[in-house]
Amino acid sequence: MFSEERKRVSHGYRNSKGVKLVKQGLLAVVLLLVVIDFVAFFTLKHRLMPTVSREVLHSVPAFLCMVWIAGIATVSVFFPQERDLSNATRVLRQFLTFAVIGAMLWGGLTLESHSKSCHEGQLRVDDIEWSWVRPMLIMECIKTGKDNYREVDCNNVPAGEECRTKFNLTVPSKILLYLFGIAWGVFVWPQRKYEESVG
Amino acid sequence: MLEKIIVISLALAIAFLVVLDIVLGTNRNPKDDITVYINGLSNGKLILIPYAWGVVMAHLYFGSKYMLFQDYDDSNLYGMIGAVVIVGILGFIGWKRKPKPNNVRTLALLLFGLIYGHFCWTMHGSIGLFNI
Repeated sequence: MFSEERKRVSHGYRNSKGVKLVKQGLLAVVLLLVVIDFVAFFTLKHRLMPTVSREVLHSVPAFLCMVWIAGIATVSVFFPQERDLSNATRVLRQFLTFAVIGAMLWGGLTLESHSKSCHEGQLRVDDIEWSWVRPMLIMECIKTGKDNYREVDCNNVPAGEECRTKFNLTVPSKILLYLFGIAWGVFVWPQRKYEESVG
Repeated sequence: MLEKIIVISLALAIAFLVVLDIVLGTNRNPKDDITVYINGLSNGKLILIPYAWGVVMAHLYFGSKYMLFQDYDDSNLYGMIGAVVIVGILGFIGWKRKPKPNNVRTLALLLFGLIYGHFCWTMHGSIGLFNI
């Protein structure tokens, strides 16, 4: 009797307006991004012109918090942790998470503001005072002229080339950030208890 | 012009998902959160989701300089086609076999996606191990 009731409630939840909204919303967002990406990829003269992927790639370091959030999301979506938390603890954990996002946004935007053009080129990763930061950063130069978004050697940019230079995180740094996000998802980020909440 | 359209679309898509998650996270229904919904799908017929998640993550952020198959214009068309073919195969397997939830399989597919995205569908790739 109890399990029948539980099944009925659970089934009702799965068919609620909220679930339908999630289905339609996710489908719309995925379709929109795929269509825009394909249009950008196949219709432009050069395939290295900006696509959704390249815009996201170049949103780091300003939005490096997205890599960290993706780590938390990986745990939330695929390996949800069941926790029994009081409201105060839940709010505290959420507050801590948003504080870290704020700190990462500040750090990312600071890095972005230090970026200079290749033609000026005075500031290098080696010039940064904190030695522990240097291995985590790379200087990127991106051609922004006719064949947009091609990464080029910063030391060998021909005169007159349009080029954007910036500090970025190295790939191992991004992987570490992602693993930090996963650890945060496992130990800190509060998640709903799935089955216990039903019925 | 296209760059602006892409940035605006991305911002709108992210804003929409954030608002949707906040709205659904504050109601009484625990089954309609976005994460819960995707978790349910990936534990059912759509076993391709962990692979797709891993491949997109690695494509966006963790691309290697060394790419397995470098194509003629560095656009990484072959890497994209390979990713789509694997998604198709996993979609077919999930649809035919209706697998049960399995954390080990989810982790394996996620790691496979991350490795594929890192080596085969990278946006940093400048050195090809096999040139086509």
